[in-house]
Amino acid sequence: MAIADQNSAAFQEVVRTAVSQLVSHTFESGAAYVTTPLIYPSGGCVVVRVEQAADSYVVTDFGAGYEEAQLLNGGDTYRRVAIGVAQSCGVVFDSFSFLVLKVSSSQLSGAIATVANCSHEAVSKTTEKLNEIKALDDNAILYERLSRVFEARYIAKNAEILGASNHAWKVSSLVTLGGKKVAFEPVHKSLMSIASVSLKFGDISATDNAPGTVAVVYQKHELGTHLSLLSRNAKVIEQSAGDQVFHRLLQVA
Amino acid sequence: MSADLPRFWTADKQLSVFPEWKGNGSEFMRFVAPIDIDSITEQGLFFTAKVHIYSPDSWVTFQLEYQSRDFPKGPPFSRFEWKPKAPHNNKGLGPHELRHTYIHGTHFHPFDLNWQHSEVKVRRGELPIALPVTQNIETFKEALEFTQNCFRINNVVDIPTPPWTAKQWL
Repeated sequence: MAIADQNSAAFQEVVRTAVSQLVSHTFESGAAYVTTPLIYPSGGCVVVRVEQAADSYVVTDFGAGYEEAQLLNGGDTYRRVAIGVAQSCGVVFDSFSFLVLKVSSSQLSGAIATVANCSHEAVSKTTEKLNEIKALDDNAILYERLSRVFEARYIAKNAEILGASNHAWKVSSLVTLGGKKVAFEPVHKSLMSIASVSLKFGDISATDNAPGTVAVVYQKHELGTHLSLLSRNAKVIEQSAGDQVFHRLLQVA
Repeated sequence: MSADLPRFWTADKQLSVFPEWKGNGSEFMRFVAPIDIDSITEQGLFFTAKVHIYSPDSWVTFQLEYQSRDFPKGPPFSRFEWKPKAPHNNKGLGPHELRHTYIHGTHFHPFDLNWQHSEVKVRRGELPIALPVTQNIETFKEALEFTQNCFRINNVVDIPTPPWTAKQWL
């Protein structure tokens, strides 16, 4: 693009139009609903409500953030998170909604931004926490699966293993059977999950008499090139692998 | 089993019962009903609808949800939003023509497109891709009819009208 074009009237108009679309508002039944440019993880925009109260205003997300969390059935998690978010921003959280009471007209735009950000932040943190809870669930699911293949007495949950670095790692499940040891760890396709398990298994594998290391993934093809990262330090199987695969892993350890 | 989601989506279904709309003290009320497939009430499979009590004849969210051992909280795997307050943004996902655009008004988060994008996300209840609904849906009854067709649940139209009310302002 030529430099002369960059400040053209057409360019400025396109940007002006785009920016003007970022925020909008409607008046309904005596209140104003302001749609902000913030986007919840679901893709829905953050909307806050402004109500007039005598000579001041009330700004609230009217529980819309809570409802977003509820879409993922994370309402209880949201409540715990929201209390901290409200405190850090100096606003009220009343079990469902973020609120700023007695806002003057000069404070109104700032209060709208604060409440919208609180609602957005609380939903984002809730989503992250729900995913963490899922990781805990994955450990329990893996343990259950191993218990069906081997007997529970051969499996240690959250076993501690010393790596070559002398760091004490926790592995999800350690199977010890017939003089063989194999550490199993559930792995998500996220790079964070892959990297942390690779690091852990790399350090463990570098020790003398290291146990076998097995990463359990949902579907290998989801990992793409990251599968190669993982397979440098662990054998990799899918959750749906048959019992004979688990037995073979013990045999070859 | 998560593998059941495509089967649940394509099967002809019906609501097992018609419970009352219930609230928990917030500005929203819910209708939650289990679902039958071939006369069997499926374990963990639910239809839910949510309304904002101060927004009559608008802003209703309909969902299909599945509660499994892996996902005990029962995340949704398809959603229809009738006249929502907030526009939706697909970010950089889904059909090219809808990426990074705001979908204002009624829209639908289809199972198929989201499943195609990421089975893992759908199992978690994340449905980032939505399609606009161009059909004019004005009344709650019309919204139920649309939901009935797209969710393949043959008695959704019998759901009672939500107990909308007027807000007493400060």
